[in-house]
Amino acid sequence: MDSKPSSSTNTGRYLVAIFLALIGGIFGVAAAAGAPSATRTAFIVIAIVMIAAAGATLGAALTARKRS
Amino acid sequence: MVPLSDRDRAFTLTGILLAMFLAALDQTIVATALPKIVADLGGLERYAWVFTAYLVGSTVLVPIYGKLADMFSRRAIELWAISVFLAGSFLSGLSGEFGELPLLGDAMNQLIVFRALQGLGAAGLLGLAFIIIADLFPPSERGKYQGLTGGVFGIASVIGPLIGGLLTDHGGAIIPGIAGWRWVFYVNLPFGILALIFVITRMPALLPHGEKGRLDALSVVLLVGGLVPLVLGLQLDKTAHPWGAPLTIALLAGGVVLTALFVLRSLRVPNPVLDMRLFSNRVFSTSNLAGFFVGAAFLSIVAFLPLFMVNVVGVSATSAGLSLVPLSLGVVFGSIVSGQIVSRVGHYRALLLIGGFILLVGVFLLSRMDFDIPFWQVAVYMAVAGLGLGPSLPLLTLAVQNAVDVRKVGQATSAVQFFRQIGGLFGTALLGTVLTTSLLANIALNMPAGLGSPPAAVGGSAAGVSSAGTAAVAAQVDEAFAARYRSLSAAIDGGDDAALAAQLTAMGLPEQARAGITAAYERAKGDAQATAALLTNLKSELDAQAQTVIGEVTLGVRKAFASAVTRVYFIAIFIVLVGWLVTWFIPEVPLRKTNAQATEGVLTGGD
Repeated sequence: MDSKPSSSTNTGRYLVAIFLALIGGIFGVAAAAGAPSATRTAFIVIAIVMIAAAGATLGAALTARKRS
Repeated sequence: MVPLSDRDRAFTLTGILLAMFLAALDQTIVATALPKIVADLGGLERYAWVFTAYLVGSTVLVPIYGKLADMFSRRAIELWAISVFLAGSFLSGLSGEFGELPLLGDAMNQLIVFRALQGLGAAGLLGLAFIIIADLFPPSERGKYQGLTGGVFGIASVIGPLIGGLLTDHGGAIIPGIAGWRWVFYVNLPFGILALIFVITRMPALLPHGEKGRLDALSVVLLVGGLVPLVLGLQLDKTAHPWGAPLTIALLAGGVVLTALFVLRSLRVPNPVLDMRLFSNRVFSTSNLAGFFVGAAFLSIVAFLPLFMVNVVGVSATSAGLSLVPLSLGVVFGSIVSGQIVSRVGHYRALLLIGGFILLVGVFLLSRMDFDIPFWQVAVYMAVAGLGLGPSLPLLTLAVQNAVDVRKVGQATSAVQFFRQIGGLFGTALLGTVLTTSLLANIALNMPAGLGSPPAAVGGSAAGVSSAGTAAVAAQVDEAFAARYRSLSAAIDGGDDAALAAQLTAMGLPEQARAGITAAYERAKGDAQATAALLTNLKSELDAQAQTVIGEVTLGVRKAFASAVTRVYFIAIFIVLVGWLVTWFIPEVPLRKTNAQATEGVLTGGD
């Protein structure tokens, strides 16, 4: 717990990436199981955005790790 | 430092559990009282805010109470939280008694504001119970008492609607002149005051060590500023404001941006509301992640099962709360027993995994329910799901408290509570939307062929159906046929040929039936006895038709609900599965056998 702030920031990035990916996945499942509607389209968009954001955050975390 | 007698410990525990029970109860108690409240106070278009105001208050301040508990006497914070909660309860009960008030406006506005005040107190009561137990008992013993806490929380969440219904229906007899629904709020006063007495007379000050210093005001502003729109965005009625609506997007995006700024600020200040370095601790981060998904599953099960019980199984709306008792018993049993076991064996991870697996089985069973399922079978499924939910309530908190620096137990504990609550909001928002869209599609599919349009109670919005229930749908169909008879009767009695022809056409009867009725009408013209006989025949014919349509519509609604609710639980399987998989990554840290580290400088004699 007493790790350096930079290390905890990077841990945070990994966690945010995992969290976003999981939430995106759940929206994806809800879209796949839901009846065709505008809501389903919204869920698909949200799932894509969440997973893209997860990818970007993971990329940032990996870059920061390489630099350190 | 003074030793705490077993007696004082017991009274303190009773006081905080009682206070926590009231706070958890108030999350759901208003649901069954709301129709009467709206009938008394008006403001139907704002009724949803009665829930939302409480929810926002009781969620947003959780992390701040945790931080304050690390900085000041925990007894002082608990007293403050109980007092605010009681003031909010009393004022909520008084809403509208003095007419329109300056600044607060009409009765419904007053209730919304006072419910928010109640929520601000409840935020402290929910988190502080776990924090204070951490002071009173070492981790190796704590499981037993955290188990009780989980049980109390589980019971309160589930029986809220039952108590709300009972007080609303029968509370009016307690003191003549005070409406029953006001007791939904006043009932907190005697129990809250009792909790207050226990805390004042028996609880030590519980002064923390090491977390002095000023609370960073900007962090608080960013946290509250971020969480309020986030919670509101999740809570918005998604039939009126779908996920893609500008208001929903603006609230969620604004909330995420301000929360991100809060995180950045917390990384830079010396005394943040939530120390972000806690997330480097794997027990803390994985437990909170698992707690988020378990929270989503818990609230979703509690929120959607009453709809199934009322609209599919056919229990009355007022006894819907009672029908959830098997779920409640499962949660209580799972929570208490897992707490006892962990205190004996000293390991929490295996119990969390077993609980998660049982929950997975329970939700899978719930997702397999059909429209003709008997009550006993739903009860068994509920009990299994409850049994699986039980261990997660106390054990995730215990795991976190055992793994973090004792100086940060307050903020760490409140983080578990906070992530569980936010998970619940996320789950109900997501699955509520799935329920609504599925229901509307299924109702269209399941309406009897030839029914021009579904009765109003099943058209419009799913929310309408949810609250109406199949009994209300049947009543509407009955009324539609009665209205039809009144129109026909008026046309026949008045000898109005055109009106009769128009009515028969509007009824959509086959040509042959129309011709038959018209011929009978022509024959009966001017003959009062024949007209009366014709009307009697028509009445019995329409009554028979109404019963057939009611049977078909009710069956259609039941099928539609069964299909929509089970689809929701099907998605919930994935939410539970994610939580369970995350649980595998929670490290097992041996439970500390003494509380020396935790209580040093904490259990002191006075403020």
